[in-house]
Amino acid sequence: MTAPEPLASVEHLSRKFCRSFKRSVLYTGIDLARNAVGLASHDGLRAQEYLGLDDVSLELRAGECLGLIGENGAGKSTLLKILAGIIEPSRGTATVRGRVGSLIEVGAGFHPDLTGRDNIYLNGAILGLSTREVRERFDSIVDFAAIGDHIDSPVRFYSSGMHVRLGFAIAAHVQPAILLIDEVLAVGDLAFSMKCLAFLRNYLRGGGAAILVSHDLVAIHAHCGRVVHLARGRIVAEGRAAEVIEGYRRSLATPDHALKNEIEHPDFTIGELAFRHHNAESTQGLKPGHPLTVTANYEAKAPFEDLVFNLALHEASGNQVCAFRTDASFGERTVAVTPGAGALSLHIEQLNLQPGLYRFSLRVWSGGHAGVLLACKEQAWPLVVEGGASVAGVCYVPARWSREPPAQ
Amino acid sequence: MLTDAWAGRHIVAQLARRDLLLRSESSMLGLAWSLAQPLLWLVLFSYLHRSRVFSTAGLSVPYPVFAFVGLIHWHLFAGIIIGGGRSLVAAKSLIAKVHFPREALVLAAAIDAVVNWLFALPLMAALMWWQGVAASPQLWMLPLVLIPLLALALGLALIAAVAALPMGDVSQALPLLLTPLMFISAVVFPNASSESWQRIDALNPMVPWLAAIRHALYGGPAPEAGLLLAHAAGACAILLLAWRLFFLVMPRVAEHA
Repeated sequence: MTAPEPLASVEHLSRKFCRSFKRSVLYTGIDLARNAVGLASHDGLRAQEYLGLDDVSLELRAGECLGLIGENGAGKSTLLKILAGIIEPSRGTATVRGRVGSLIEVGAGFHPDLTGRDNIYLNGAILGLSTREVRERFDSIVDFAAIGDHIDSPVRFYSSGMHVRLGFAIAAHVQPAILLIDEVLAVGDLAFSMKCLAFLRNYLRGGGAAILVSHDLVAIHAHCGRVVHLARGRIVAEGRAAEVIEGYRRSLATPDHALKNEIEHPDFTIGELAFRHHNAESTQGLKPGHPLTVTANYEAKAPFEDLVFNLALHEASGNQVCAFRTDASFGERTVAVTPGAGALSLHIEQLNLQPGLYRFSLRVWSGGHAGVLLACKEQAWPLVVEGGASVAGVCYVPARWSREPPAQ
Repeated sequence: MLTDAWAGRHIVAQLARRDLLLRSESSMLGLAWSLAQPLLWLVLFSYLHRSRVFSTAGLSVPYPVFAFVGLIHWHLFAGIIIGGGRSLVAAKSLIAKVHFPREALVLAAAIDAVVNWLFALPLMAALMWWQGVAASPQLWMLPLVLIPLLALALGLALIAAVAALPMGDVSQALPLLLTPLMFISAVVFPNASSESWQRIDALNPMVPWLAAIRHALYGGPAPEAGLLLAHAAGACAILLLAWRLFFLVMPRVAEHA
């Protein structure tokens, strides 16, 4: 039995952009002139041009939700726009068998002075529905959006939540072949998010396919079976969600991505952090609940009497998760330092963190913690905690499940 | 190109409906506002005529009728071009987000101008009745003459629209270019009949068309049939070329929107 035709297929897709506006107008003019006389547009990169997408190929089949992850500027939006038909490819093809539903910017074309009712007809038409189709689905749309009587008042009086709900409701009723979703599931209150997710699940079960773009890796893992990692316009990884997400997290932890926020002091220099895990110098294989030793190196040019070292741990978003202060557990309340190179080690017995990317900060205070900040390096050292279970939240709490016998 | 446009017919209907609703609901004068411009010009030029600023010897009808007919049809022509030219720029954010045939926007703006014209017709009929001018038996010719006029206007509107998106100055330049054109197109006063003017008039499609419109409405002097046909053919050619150009250029311009 042959596999069913893919609903969307992208083959060797490339798309170039130009950095300078005036030059891009010139290049467009030249390409148009070439097209007019029957020649193809200029191939290859001219000055100031760069590839937003580079030789991307993928397929989307019925019932599938594909996750698209990557940093900003990796080409995710460009790929979605090409699939939606808003931008044309420079090379290669992108074909969709049917209508494309875009949940990227819902409520496009809403005019504030028109009522919700009129906007449904207008928006529906823009999205590709005929007037008759809108009329047939009208009640269902209003119901989904939970707008109620407000449907007959001008949209300028709607709250932003109502706006999104109405836009989403219309887009949801377009019954497209594929859906392109870009972070829109994060908008709206919890009840609405749940409704959107239920809609997505029904839609996939009904034979649709979707591409989900998000920075929320937990959401991607939860909803997408296959994930594609884009970086600088190319597909870097493609495959099962857990593996690709892990690889993506690892790529974020490379030195390229170390943020350099530091305050320096002429007499005290914060050095590098060294990690020790299970008698190895690297953190490969660090899982929740494992021990970890962090050694902070420093170099002092003068003696300091009362320093407090504070090693803080942040999650990828920057929120501080926990901190370890020397004046909390060190033998002496404060640390005395003599001129020269030195190091302090922090011994964590069980690092109870969920898998993910974290970063260390080191802050050194002089005159006790209430004194003066001598030097610090914020979020300069990445740490990846590995593991399979992707759960939202930071804490790892050791626990286990057991099956209970049925009640008598 | 054609299938895209046909698929977009619902959008045209909805956009036109939107413009109509907005016009009637949001402005104080509502639909009456659309008549303000031709009326204002009429009043001004009637006064100028009375003061003998220009000569209108040999007119077969009272001046106000001559001028008003010219004015509302010129506004139809210019309105389509200016409104169409503006339409894409006004919907910039929509163009960047959703895929739909952009011609629909230009067409909806054209329909807007046509609606304006429709509202002016009863006023024109009232004016003719007041001035004692009878409608001519060739009234049926009116739609025939209007078709090439609309075609040319739409063609120019498509070009203006796709040029205005990357180059903002186009929207501002249009009224500047069209207004002088109005004064040499026998809209509010007949052109001089010297040799050189006759040659210029032959190139200007609005001259024979306005003459034909006046002939259809109240039996003014009829223009040469050959000239009419030539301009009609030219108008259709321009419309087709403009549409093709729009189709080719639009995707590239939309990226920058």
